[in-house]
Amino acid sequence: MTLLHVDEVWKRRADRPVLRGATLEVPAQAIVALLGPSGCGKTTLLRLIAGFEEAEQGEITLDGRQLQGPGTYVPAERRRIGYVPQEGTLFPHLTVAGNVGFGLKRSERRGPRVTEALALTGLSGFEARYPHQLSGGQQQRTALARAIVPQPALVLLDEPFAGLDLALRRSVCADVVALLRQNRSTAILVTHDPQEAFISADIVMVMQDGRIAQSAPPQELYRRPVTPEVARLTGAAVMLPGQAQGDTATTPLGPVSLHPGTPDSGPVDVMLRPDQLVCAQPGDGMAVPVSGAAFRGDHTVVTIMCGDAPLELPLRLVSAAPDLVHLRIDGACMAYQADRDA
Amino acid sequence: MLASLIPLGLVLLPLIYIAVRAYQAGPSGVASDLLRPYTLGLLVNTVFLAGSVTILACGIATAAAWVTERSDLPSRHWWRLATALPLAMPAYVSSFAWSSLGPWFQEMQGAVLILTFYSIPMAYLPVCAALRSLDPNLEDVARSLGYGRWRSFGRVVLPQIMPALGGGALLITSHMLAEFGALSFLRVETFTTAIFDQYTGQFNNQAAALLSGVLVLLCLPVAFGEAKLRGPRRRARLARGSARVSTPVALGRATPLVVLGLGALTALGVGVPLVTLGFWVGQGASAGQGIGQVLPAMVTSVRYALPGALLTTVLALPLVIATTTRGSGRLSRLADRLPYLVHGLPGIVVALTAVSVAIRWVPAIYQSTLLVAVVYAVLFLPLAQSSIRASAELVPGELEDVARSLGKGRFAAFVYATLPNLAPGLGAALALACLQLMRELTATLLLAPAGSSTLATEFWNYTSDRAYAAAAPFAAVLVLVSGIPVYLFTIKVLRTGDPR
Repeated sequence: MTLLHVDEVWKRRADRPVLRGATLEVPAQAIVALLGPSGCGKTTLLRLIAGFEEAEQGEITLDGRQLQGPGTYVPAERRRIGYVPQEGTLFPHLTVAGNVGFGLKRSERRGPRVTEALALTGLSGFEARYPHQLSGGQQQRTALARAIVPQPALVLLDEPFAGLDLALRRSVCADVVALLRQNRSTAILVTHDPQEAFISADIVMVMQDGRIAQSAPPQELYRRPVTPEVARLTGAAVMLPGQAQGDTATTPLGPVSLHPGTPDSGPVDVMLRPDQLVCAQPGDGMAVPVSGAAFRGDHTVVTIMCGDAPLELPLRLVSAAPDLVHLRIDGACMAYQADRDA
Repeated sequence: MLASLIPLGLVLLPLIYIAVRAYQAGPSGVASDLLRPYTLGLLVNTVFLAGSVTILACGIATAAAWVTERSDLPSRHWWRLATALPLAMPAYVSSFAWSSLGPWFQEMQGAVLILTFYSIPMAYLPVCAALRSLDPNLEDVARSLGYGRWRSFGRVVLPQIMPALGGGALLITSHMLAEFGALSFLRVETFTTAIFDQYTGQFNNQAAALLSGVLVLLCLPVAFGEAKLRGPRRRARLARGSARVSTPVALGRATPLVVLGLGALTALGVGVPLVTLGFWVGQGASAGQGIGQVLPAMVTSVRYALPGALLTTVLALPLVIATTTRGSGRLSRLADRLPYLVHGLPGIVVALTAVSVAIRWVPAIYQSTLLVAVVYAVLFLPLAQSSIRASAELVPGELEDVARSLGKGRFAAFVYATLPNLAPGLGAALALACLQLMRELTATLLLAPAGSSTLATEFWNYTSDRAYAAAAPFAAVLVLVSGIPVYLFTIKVLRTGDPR
């Protein structure tokens, strides 16, 4: 069942369109990651869904109720949408319990709901602390508890882990996602970190230039990004020039098989992920002369010449780079129409 | 720590003086001087004036700060400047301008009106700064949890700006408790004017000292309130991410109403006093009065203000250092607080003490520039302290540690590592103190060597005779002199964190 519909939403900032017909659907109880480079409009989209700002055009519907549409604008306080901003943003003048109970009716603040939420987020015993007495992770968990205690229909998280250092980020992210799932919440998580998106979300939406470029489960998005830009935004990508012929393409590394739906003729850019490049035994795969190598720990960047253009390939090599590598490509690849002259 | 004992001693002197006079008077003397309806009347007047001015000014200032900071009001920048402008006008100058309009603008109702407009900027500027540094996400979160605009203002924004508003309120209250010139002018009797009257009119030193004692008791809660507000601030942020620029709230159909309100505020706060002043300057000029004396009076003002400002800054430095970088022991906290307490005292009490002590112990400095400078320093230490503290809080203690690890001694480390970083604060303290001293009236009236006349005392002498036209040029120069630094200061406060 679809819980949230966002349909053709437009928004301008300082006369520059930030959202240009953004459209998306979020199923109930799904965790969706909104992934995109900075300035793509993902935070603006989140603020429109939350109701902090009004869209200029388009409709937003939550659970069958129109929140934004022609002549309709439900203000944030009447949307029942939880919000966890960047850096948590706890109320500095309230204790942990005061923060968590903020969205409840006065009579409920002393009841079991605050205690339950604190137990759920592992904050029991911290009720009387003030935000400045908490660690970064604890602040973030308090912010989440505060957002989910009133049982919102949807929880929005705006890069909630961006302020934490990398090691803490992964573990707090895992905690938060586990909590959201336990609570059966529907959530949208804004992030610019593809790994964070893949780890936490059922569906990842890639946003670009004020629109959703692609919306798909993590695996599918990683293997079959619809544009070269989406491919680069979702992880490391190797682009090979090639010629498509039916469901294969010829490339400097030999023939590769293509996913259905890719161009079946003409010049293409073939996109493959680093894990599809395999160093094979001599005789298996294609022998390619190496013109340079840079050791990077778990992989080595090997440079080969593709005509006049150097091509850098991240390869897993056990020993120092040889003069000649034998390469095989595993699995099907994506290919995009190239406007090169044939 | 030792260095802070000198200013501490100076600050304590008036309190000791009051205590000694009270002791000399004995219980019966205290009772006969204080336990009478007259004292009760003074108390009612003082509390009523301070209370109503503080409440009115804070209410108006908060509303004005909100519309000029958070709404889509057109040409907000100019409104901000206009609202802060009354700072440039000493209270006695605006009282002079208003009261020349007619008797309604005198007595208590006039005083509340005039002093409210005079006080608004003291709360307006800190609240503006607080609103600006507030994380706009806080309001977003409150709204996502079901709070409307008004409720999220009350439950989230107000508690956050409370320290700033409270600080402004206490500042206004202490100004009202110490105000002399304006109230004497408007014929409102408070403790401060009564003390002056007892001393200069009735030559009753004892009654003056005893009334001062009561006034000190009134100042105590104000000073301690301020001390509490200065406690460790609760701030919680995970990291300094990009603080989002808050989207201004659309006023919609309320816009003309808000513009009208702010327009009235500006008209009453600066418009009326300036126009009236201009009128009297014109009158004076056509009668050929006063102009010739303005320049010599200005030179005299600077001659007293400059050494005073220097001494104030030098004495304030150790007080600030004692609390900011050397931990916060009980003694250093006291050293930090005490000047604020004395700030609530009328200049006359400090001046009176200084005169008595000088005549008794060091007659050489009686009627000298040095004595004037010392009294100025005692009166304006808090001002210099605040300016220097603003800089000192930005200097990390590690700086001195590093300097010492590089072989500098304790003192050298302070001089070479910390002091240069305090320069902006010291400069600000010097400039602000100089400005304030040039418009200081009460202490100057009593201390300035016989025959010397400053801008403020000349103005006072003419207005005492209701010679409005003759007084006007001095008032105009006073406004100009305070106006320039106030303009720069206001710009600085209002530009901090400006999105543009």
